[in-house]
Amino acid sequence: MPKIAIRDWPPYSPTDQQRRDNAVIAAKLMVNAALTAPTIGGIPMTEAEIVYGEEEQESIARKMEELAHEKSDSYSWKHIFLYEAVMAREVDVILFLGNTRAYSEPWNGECGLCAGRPDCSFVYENRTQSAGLIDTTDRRSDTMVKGPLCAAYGHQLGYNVGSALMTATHLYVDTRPLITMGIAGQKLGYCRNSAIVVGIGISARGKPEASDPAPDYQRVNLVRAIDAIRGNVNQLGVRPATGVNYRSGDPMKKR
Amino acid sequence: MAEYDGNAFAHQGLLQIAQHCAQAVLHAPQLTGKTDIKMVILTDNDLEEFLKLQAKSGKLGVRFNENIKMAHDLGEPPVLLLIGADVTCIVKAPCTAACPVGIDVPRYVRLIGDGKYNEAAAVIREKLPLASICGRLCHAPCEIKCRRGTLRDDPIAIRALKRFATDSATPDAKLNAPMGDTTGKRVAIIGSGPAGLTAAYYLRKVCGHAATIFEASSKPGGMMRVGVPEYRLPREVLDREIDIVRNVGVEIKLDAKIESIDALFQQGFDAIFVAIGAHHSFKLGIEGEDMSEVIEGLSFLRDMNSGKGAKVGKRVAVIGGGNVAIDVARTVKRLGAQEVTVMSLERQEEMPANRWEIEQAVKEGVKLMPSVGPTRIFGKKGRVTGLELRHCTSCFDDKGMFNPAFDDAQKKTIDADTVIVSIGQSPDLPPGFGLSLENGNRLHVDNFMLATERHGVYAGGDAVSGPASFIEAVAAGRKAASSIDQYLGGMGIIDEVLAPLETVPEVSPAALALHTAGDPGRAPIPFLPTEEALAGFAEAECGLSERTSLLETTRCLKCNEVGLDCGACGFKTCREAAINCQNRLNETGGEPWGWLMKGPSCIWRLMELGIAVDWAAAAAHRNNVESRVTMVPATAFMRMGYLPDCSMVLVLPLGPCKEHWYFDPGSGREDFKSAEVTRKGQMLAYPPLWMRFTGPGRDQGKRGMKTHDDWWNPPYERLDIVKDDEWGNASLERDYAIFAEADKVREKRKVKRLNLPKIKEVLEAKKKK
Repeated sequence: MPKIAIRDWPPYSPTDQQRRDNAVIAAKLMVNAALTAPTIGGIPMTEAEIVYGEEEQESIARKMEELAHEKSDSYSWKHIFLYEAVMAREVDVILFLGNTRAYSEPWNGECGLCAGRPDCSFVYENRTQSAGLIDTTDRRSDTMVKGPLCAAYGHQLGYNVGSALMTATHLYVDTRPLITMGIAGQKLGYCRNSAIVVGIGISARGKPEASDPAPDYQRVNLVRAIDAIRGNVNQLGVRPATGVNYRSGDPMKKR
Repeated sequence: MAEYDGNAFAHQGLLQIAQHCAQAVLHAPQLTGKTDIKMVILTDNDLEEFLKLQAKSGKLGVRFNENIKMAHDLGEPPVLLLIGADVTCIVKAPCTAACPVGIDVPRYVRLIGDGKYNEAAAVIREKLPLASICGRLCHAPCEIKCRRGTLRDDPIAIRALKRFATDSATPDAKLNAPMGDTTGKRVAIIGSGPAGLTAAYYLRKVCGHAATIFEASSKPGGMMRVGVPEYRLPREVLDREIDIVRNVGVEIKLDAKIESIDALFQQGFDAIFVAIGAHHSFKLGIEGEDMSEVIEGLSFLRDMNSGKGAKVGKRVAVIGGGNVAIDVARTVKRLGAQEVTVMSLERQEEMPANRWEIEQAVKEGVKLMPSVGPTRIFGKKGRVTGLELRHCTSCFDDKGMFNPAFDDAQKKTIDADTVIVSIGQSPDLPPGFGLSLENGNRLHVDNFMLATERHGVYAGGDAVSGPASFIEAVAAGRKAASSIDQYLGGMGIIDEVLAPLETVPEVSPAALALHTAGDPGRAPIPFLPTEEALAGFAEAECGLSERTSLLETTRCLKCNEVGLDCGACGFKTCREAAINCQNRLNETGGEPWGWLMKGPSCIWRLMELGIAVDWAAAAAHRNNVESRVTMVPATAFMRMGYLPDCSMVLVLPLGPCKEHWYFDPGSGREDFKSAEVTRKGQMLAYPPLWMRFTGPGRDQGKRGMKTHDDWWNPPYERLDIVKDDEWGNASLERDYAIFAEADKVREKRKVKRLNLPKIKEVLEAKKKK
């Protein structure tokens, strides 16, 4: 049997890739759990997509940063978008979970959760519909999510996400469900049949980035810190060996 | 060898597993971190009420009824885990949670920012009739909990904003509206302090009982009048607020000291609220206390506030660290004393007086001498010359109880020619009341209902809590009004809706003010210049200006909104959604009665609740116990008053057996029809999809389009399309019956009752005539 060597640094090295592949396996199992979660009425309505790789994660992170500066008026949410973008960059895998019916087919359960009305009229009246069938081709929206959505099916997505997260705890991978990542992923076309999407960052590392981020994580994070050190050689007191043969003696010693 | 009943053990295990599930809920990850999930575990005894309600409620949850009963008969009572949360678009902010009367602080701050001062004042008055006074006297627990303050900034000036709103509002005709028919019951309120006035206001205005206040002194107001100096609470403000209580029909009898409760009952009163306050000052119990220049703090203030005046020397020592002591010191300073020293056992940061009152006192030249206790008062020829003090090493013991420890080695003496003692008060209880004192200094009551040991006699305020704050007394008054109303056969509901429906403004004045102001810090509370303040008894604290108030509102972090503005709920901003939600709650009195749950909900908070419930179900699964998430039966529990603050509740039945319906959705469903079909002769505007395809063209009623579908005869009785407000009379009556039944359970459980009259009113309005 060939040897599989795994080291968690440097990123995207062949050994780090092995570790990431394991996280992908965990993500796949999490999808299974999401699909077997309790459902409202036992109707299939869950959509999942697993995304990993430097390029893909970078584009998701950039979309989150774009949303932070363009869409979010609230200072606190702008901040959240920014530091969670770093998480999208740093995690091993991203799992998107979405609900395919929240936009087009409200539950009709008389729950009154969406706007307090007994039938689903709040959803229907804000849609182009005929014979109770909603036109799903109209995808224009002023807001980050095109609402109103069926609130019960939004709740349903919670069960799917919850089951996926519970599985992650059994598999000992670190996860965090993120609203911001879900919105960005949806804008980029992941889970494109879904009206509402949650992004789950999955990582299998000693330091779980998503669980206890430092304040201003978009500015101060491990990758940037190490990168800064590597970029600025003076900080380590190491200079490129030019001219002087360092083997010949201590360059710091006065000659 | 011992033998144990395995089945009984299994049932105990089930309860433990329910606890495991509850634990899992607490550990479930959140998306916004703003969902406060609450849980209740119910077992066999609690289910009895549910079964009765189900029997009454007809079709709603009928499956649940029968199958729970079946499980019951089989000797396997299931354990239910109720999980609920408030997932509406309004998040309960820490300031609102900290307020003893639960004023919706973010809402009135928002309204001030929109320039709607009348509406803001109305929001405050919904919970508090004496609003202007609160803006001056409140010790502002909301500001302590303000999230802006707990992060890295100063809290927003909530109390000053409240004062601004109530002072700027024009008098509202609604407040002074004469009340309609009374119930014929009479309530006597002893004492016209904040607790008594509040209770009388609600008992008269909302509950409709005749309320008579008996006040021993010649002017109403209790401690607000005799204990609070005029520079803190101008008397015209006090009179104005008391007039509001008078105008709703409360009778205030002055100079009417009550000596016996039995006499009141003989006069025909049905219930009595004892709100006599704490007017009996404690004594120091040290040598020299009986000299004439040693005065009780409260009687000094009483003399000053009644216009009688008082005489003090040049060097005055005030003993005590509470608000009364500080009030005394500042009053003495206004009388021209040269040297005023406040001596307290507590360290300065432990002093119970309001922080800003202490700061003002120091600014006015009052000296503080913390951590000392007097041991004797010197005198020469019967006149005070000074005090001996010893160092107080700690005021509270390890358990946080008041238990001062002294160091007798550290003693000092100071000169003084007047000593004013204000070290606390207790109620001055006439023996004819027949009530007992707890710990010798406070009235003993039941904490839930404020009932004393005498039937029909309730008590609250300082008399029960010991000297406390204005707002706590108001909270006691509210609680007492609710309890007394229930005692007299009412619902105990004292909620008022005074603020009109809100709209989102085009441009907010606060935003305009901010545009030219930059990032404001906490608004400094303006005070009169010290010389001017010390010259007389003019109000020392000046209110905020309009511009400062508007800027101050922009500092609110809006903890009452999720704030993402994602649009998933259908409103463009969280703010719009919160306003809509509030309007709807006002409309329904906070109860979901035509439908199952309350809305509008925040989709993300709903999802968080979903995650939590799923974790509970997964925890059950891990423990080899079957469960099934159910929503419809949970609504019955909601109406019975379980998890009262939650807008959505789910039930997780836990059981060991696979054969019951709730684990096997295929069984026992034959009798179940969806609610639409059971409403004979009517149909929802948007019926479920299966019905849409089997019925005639759905749009014709709404759009005015004629579709030729007469050729098609539906296989069932022709249904009418109904709108929200046109429900069938039968189902409305059924709904009312469910509520009435649920309310009986609430009454039994002593939780907040359903507003049945209001529910009836709305349901009647919906009926087809």
